Amino acid sequence: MEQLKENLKVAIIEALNLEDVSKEEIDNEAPLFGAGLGLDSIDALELIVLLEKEYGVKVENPEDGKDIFQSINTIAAFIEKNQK
Amino acid sequence: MSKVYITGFGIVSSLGVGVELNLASLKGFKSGISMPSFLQTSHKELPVGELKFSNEELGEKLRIKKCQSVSRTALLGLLAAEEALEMASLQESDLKRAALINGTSVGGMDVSELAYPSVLNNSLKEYRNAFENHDCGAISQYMARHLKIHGHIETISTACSSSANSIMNAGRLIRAGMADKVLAGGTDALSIFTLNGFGALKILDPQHCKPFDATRKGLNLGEGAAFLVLESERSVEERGAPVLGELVGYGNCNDAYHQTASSPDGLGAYLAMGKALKIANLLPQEVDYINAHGTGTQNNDMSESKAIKKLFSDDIPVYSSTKAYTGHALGAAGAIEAVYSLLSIREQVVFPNLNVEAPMDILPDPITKVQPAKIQKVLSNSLGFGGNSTSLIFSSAS
Amino acid sequence: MKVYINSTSSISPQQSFDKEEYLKDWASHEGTYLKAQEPIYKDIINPRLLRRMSRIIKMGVATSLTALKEAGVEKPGAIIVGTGLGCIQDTEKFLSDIVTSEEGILSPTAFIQSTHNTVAGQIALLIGCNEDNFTYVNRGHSFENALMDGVLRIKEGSNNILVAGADEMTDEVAAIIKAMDYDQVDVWGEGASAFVLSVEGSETSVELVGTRSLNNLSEEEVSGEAIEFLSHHNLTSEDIDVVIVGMNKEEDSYIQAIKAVIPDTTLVNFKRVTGEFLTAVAFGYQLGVNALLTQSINDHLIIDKGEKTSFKKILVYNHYFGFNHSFGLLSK
Repeated sequence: MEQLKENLKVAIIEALNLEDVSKEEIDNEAPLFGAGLGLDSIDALELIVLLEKEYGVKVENPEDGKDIFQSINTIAAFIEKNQK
Repeated sequence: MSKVYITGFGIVSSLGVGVELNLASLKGFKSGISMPSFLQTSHKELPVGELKFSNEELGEKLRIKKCQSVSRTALLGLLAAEEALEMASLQESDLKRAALINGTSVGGMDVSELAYPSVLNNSLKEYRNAFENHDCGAISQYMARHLKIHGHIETISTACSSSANSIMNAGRLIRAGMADKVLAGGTDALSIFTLNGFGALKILDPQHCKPFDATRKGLNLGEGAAFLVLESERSVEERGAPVLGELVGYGNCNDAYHQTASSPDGLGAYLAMGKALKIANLLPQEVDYINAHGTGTQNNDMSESKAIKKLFSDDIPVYSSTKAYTGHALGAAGAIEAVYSLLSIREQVVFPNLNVEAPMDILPDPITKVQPAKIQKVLSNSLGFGGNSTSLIFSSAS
Repeated sequence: MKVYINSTSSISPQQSFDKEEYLKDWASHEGTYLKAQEPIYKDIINPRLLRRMSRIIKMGVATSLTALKEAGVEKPGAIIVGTGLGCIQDTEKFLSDIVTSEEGILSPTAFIQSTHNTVAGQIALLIGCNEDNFTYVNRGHSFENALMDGVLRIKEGSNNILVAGADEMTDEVAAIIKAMDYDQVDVWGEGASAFVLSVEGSETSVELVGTRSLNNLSEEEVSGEAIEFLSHHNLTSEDIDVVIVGMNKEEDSYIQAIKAVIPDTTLVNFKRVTGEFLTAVAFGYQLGVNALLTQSINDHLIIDKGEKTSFKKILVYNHYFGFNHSFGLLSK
């Protein structure tokens, strides 16, 4: 699980072009959207693509992204739960 | 300042080629949404508003012999433009100094995307023709040459409001005394590029779209073209041309909220409608019908409804979206709906909003039947990516 | 009603963004096209938006924000951008994703950013400007359409109009163009220039007296139209101190046609800086404004040196492949 979280951070930084952010700066519990990393709805769509392409996990309804993408912890939990 | 008269219009959409076919479908509740047969996409499961003619068949209608390399965007545009010029009875000699203002979102993308594998395979020479016809301006230039229009050419690309902005600019040029005769509108063909793009944005409805329905899931892409002939008072008098309507108001603004989404309170649409009313010197309650942008996405219909509510308050005119007929023809949508607005005035009816089962609760329900009404002033909205928002107001001939 | 250019900003293949270094240290270029010398963007553009921007967006936004700042304008009366090919880097990326994934799972960012009005939209978003927002994509008249619109807006009663022209070159387009073997053009390029047009001018303003765009002219017609354009503004060829032209190659028959009717002035080729591209002429105007304000022109650009040592009136002429022609008149 910890390895998954570390991998996720690297993948997110790359997919969202967060050039100025290092993976150490992303806290597992910190919010990714709004005040946290400042991600927006376009990033949410990119995260859906990331999960499907890299982890084979599908987010059926984009609206569910709000809950899934709260933090690194919630994303990792969603992947673990849904990965076959 | 000169009035801006409309003396002709032409249209092509998934409802068919020409004004009368479009009108018959609108009145007959006949949607043009279907599964793609000509668009060479692998997503044959996604409904679109496709005109059921091949490029070769469109070329034949236009008497263009070799249309293999011509963009479908140009072919659709020419069909609509020729009908508009014919309705206005403009002769070749009239066109010498006429202006062409074209709006398109992706121009010749339909040709480029099919040729693109040759770029990836490094056979660049094969791509030459696609490259030379790819850009939006190439479409306008091709059209001007075919139509023998020799005056000023403009091409506007502001996503989904492109052709509404073309019509607005025609009004501005005529009012400023910079043009007497303008052919203005826009054209967009379906493309694999846009279909996949809207797919990636997760705003395509896998079924027929349901604008202004509470359970709406997204839009269907469409294709088509429409052009209006707009003339100054002087030009109309000189030619003794019959006047079909008047462009009385226009307004453009930027929502400045998000790259693709509209602001939750619809500031862009609200400001654009307000500007158009101001130019037209009209009060909100003088608008008889709103042809809404109403794409069927959660975001647009909510945002637009709130903007209409804010501007018109308790006196909301009858309104409908015709996107469930045509699909969203992107850069051409504004001009297509301008023609429907003019038809609404000509026929004194309001066209229905299809597929509404559970209406949203912000506005009174949209019109869902062909409703006869006294229609003198129609407001038409076009709202696009990059926050681009445009409203046009058409009036019966005064 | 007069129209003033109150500020300009350019990113070009030579140093032009930093006005202190304007066209100093002439750079020689290798490769198939002249690549723009770009500034450090994160000092100019909000990093949150910057991270998604392709080069055309960065160039267009950075020059626009700089021009606004220099003119002291927070919210322009309109944002108007001309671009010939638009955001081709993102277009290429999305197209190639479609082909390689066979219309599979696609990331939306390149599609969003590929839209032609991205530059104008991003400027509005960054400065919170709700005013009119237009984008013209009209081949060799993309910038001219934008500039004409800007002038019309001043006449309609708006003020402080932002007008910009921007195009990017990519390795892929450069390779396509090379394979096409155009013999009309020596070298291709890229860049962006932005201007603020206002009703009132100051010491540091230049008057934009007029512009005109025409299509499909012969050399003879270009000579005639040049004189007609000047006489429309009550001028003759003798009133012109400098002619700034965009020569596609060193033997350009249209430029000869201009020289034939305006013989004794300083003739300057701005495309030695920019190379050819669909909105290159925007730099021609920027060069003209700069020449009037500094009373100097870099020697690298001068084809014929006239006798006048001070410049008051500059004619800008450009053509794209002999089809799109345009004239502009600047005055101090």
